[in-house]
Amino acid sequence: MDASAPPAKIIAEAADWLVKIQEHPLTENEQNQLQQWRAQSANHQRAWQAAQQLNQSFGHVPEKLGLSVLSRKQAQRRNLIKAISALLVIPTGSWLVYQHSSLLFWVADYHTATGEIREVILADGSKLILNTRSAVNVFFDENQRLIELLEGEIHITTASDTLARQLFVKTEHGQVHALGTEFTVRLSSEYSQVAVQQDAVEIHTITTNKVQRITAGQQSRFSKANIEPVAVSQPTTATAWTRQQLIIDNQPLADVIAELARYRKGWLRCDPAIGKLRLSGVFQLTDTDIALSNIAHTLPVSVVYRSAYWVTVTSNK
Amino acid sequence: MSPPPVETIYKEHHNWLRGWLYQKVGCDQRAADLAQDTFVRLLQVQYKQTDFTPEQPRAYLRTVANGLVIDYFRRRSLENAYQDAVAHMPELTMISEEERLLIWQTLDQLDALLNRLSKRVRTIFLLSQLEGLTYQQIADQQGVSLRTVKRDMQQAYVHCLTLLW
Repeated sequence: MDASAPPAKIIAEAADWLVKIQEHPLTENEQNQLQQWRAQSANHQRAWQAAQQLNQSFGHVPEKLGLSVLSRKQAQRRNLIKAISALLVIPTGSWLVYQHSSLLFWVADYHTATGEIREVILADGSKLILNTRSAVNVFFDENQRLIELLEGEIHITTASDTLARQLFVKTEHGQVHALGTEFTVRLSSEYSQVAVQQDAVEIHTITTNKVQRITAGQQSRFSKANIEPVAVSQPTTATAWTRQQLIIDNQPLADVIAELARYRKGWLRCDPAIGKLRLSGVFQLTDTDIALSNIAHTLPVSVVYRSAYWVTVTSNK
Repeated sequence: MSPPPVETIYKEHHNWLRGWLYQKVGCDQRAADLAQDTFVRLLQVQYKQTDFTPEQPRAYLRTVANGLVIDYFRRRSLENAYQDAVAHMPELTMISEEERLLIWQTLDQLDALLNRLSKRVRTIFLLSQLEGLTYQQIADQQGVSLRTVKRDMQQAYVHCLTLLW
């Protein structure tokens, strides 16, 4: 037998451990078991080194870049191969479809840069606040007031309209019908989220036309087909960003870091090993470096700056 | 009989290999480079196993060259995806050349690692590794069972660890 061939059994066991670690933080008992497993032989050690090398590699890649590049579509791979074979210039069109929001973003009526929070008064007197990295189109005609959210998050305080036109916020997942009101809408790739601070709104999903009424102090998420059950939403927490604040109440560190990352240029990554640590506090969005340093004082974590634009939060053990 | 040295194999096979590669990549310069790389691989194997000689040089060279062609196209496709992605992420232009090189090399390594995985396994693995989604979130998002997610994760880890061995 080739002495350097990877031993299938050990590799499978190492993979089982990795699956488990990714699922939940290991208990002390499990950690001891893992130690024992690793100490069994040089090959066990070697398999674990390979596992660490793999983890490190993923740690070096910014998430957004890694996801779009490494999960590029098979069709795109094949087309590119064809194009290269024929020595043609690579068409960028296919990519623009894939990343359509980027182009829409720059031609939108109003948009904000990373870290920017901007207030706009619309023609009817309604107040629109755009959170970081957000973009909207505004269509007003004699029948309706339509705000199309292309990216990011907005806060709306509606003004009573002299023409009594209905106000809608449209996302790729559906429409939010304002019933005289104050609310926020946030767009993610899989769903839109609505939180209401005053009065009520009605959600209409785009493909199934399901309807759900959300009232003050409530929130819900909806996809193109479904509306999630209504949950509680503290108005001060949901609108904290309009006052340049982030209010955290016993949330996993991974979520907090992901929130802060929205306001930073470059990328900010949280080591999954500490992602489940819980945290509470009020952070200023005007300076996320200070927020990070506060977190490092509260939890057993370190903030590692490779550069101002490349920051990782890791365990300080 | 001592095995034919690489020089002999080179003289005998270089021309058709280069022509064969040209058919695949459609660029003479690229075909010449890949032909060189193919012989370098053979040298590397002989360096490790001094008595190694391919019994059927033609088939052997074609297999090695084919692997290099696949890798070449994979990297070209990766390069294009990378350039496009970077063009849409202005923040990436602000980091240093070294950091970008490190990212590029890591992406290349990961891409080669994940290349043979099926689309579903690859997607599930990336959602877990890069996006940090929980298995349940991945199952919901991808419309598969929790068991499938765990099985795919296990498969991806086995695949990667085997290649990294």
